[in-house]
Amino acid sequence: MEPVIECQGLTKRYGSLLAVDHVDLAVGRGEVFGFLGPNGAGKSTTIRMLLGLIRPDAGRALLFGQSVAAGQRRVLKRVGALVESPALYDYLSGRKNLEILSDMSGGCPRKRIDEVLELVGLSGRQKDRVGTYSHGMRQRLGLAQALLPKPELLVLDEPATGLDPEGIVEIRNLLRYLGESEQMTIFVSSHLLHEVQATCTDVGLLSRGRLVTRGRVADLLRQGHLEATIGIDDAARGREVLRSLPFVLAVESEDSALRVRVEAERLADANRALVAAGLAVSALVPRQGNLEELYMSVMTEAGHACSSAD
Amino acid sequence: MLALVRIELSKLYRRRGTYVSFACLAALVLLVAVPISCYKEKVDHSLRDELSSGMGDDWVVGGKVLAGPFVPRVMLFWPMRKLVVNILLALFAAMAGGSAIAGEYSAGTLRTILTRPPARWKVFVAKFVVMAIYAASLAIFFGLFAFIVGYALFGRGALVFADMPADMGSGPRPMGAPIIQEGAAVQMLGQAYLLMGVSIIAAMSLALFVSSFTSHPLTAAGAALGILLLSTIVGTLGSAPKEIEFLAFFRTIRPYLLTTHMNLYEIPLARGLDQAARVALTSSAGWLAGYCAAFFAGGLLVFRRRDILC
Repeated sequence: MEPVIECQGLTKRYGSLLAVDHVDLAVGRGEVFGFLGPNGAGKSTTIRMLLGLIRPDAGRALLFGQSVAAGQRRVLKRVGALVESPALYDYLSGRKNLEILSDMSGGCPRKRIDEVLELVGLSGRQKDRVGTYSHGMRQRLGLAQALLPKPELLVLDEPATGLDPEGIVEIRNLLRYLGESEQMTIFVSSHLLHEVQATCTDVGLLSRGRLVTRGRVADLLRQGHLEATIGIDDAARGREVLRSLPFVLAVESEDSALRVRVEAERLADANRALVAAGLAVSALVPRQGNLEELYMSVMTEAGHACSSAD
Repeated sequence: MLALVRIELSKLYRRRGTYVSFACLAALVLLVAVPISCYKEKVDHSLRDELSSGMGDDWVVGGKVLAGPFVPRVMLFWPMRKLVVNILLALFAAMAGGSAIAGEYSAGTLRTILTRPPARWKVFVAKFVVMAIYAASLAIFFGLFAFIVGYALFGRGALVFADMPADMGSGPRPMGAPIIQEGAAVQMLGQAYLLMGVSIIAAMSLALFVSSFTSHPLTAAGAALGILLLSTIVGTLGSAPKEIEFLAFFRTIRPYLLTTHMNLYEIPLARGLDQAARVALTSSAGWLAGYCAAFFAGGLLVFRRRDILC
């Protein structure tokens, strides 16, 4: 099946700075794709090239097999986008903004405007000037304008920026709903790694303009190692047994239990060794992998000097 | 395309700032017309003196000499017209043209509309058309308001105006001031204000061109206004007497300057539309059309290739 988004050797240079460096990427239909990377990694530049806002120096960015930069702009009818902070007309009402942007896409029933306003929780303020909106409300309106044409592909650049915790949860639920119920392909860049982990099916990590990792979230988190908490009757002895096993990477005491890190898929072997040594295992709780750890480890490996995911 | 023009018009005329220019022009007309009305008898007396000058003391000027067309004509009295057209209207046109693209660029709304399906050239053409309508409407409003105020304060009647060369009037021709019948006066002034609109469209085209490659509306407006003022200064130097030899260069380039041809609205005032005036008018209109076309083409070329980074 043809990918919804396809980057082929996508490159952009600003003077001596290589902002995007030969990025090859494909996002299939129905994926909720998280696009991650530190500030300045080239995420927004890549998104802008996808949407035809920036012309690539080399390579191609295709949406539904067509290049917006090469003038095939009709494809944008199938796309909803929110690029960075929502930029809307402050002197117009929220509703008028949506009407104008809808007309630019060929128009949509006024009922659809009501629907998206309801969806983002702005029905009550739709007649107020956008200049009076809070940052969070602007963000919601930005999301509403992206959803307006009932897009097959939703491209969101930092959609949760500036939202309060309730707003972040609402966005998370909305993206889940759109991905699962509406079968929408969603391409979202974000620094909120736990949100990406909770929402996205796939991720790609960008570092210094290069795509350093790409895959399904579940697969990436299973890679490498697994952590688990083991409830055991004799923690000291259990620690000795586990330390003697070559696939056990680390063992730490945690109250009366043990916390172990083992190679992927080897937790059952560790349990078998404990039982064989005559120890009673009362609990074996694998700990869910963490995208933040994966991110930090990939970024360290890629040599990106970053201390956090912002 | 029509939908885009309608959207741009809606954006322009829903912005409160748009009406500041109209309010300024209205204030200017009132600032001139109301004092004339307050000192109506003195103005009337002075016009009668003008009409009877050189006729001897046994001549008595009867009838009405101060009427509605006097106000729109006095607004085009030298040097008032230079200040109004080359500075005030040029400033409004530069501000509007400058904000049309650079304003949307700096506010970020350009990226919002350019992620919609319409091609960039269509967006640019729509903006150009709407800015041209706005520029023309400034001149038309200025003229109409002056007529309305003139007729409201002084009623109907012929135009008596001392600034007019004696060979231009119809009806009795005294030495000091011609009398132009009401119908002819309205026609002449109407032509002048319409041609003023053409001049302002040319100034706006320059601003829109600068706006296509600048990132801030004030930069665009300032640069456009600077170019217009520089051109006016060069043109003024070029109109110096031939005896001043070191200004020969300015005399050479003066016929090709934008601001030289922006004065085409003066032609009907000075000579009416006789054969020579028509030739001069056609020539200047051609130059202005050429300038507009060049600014339009240059702006379009830049706008189509511009990276939207903001």
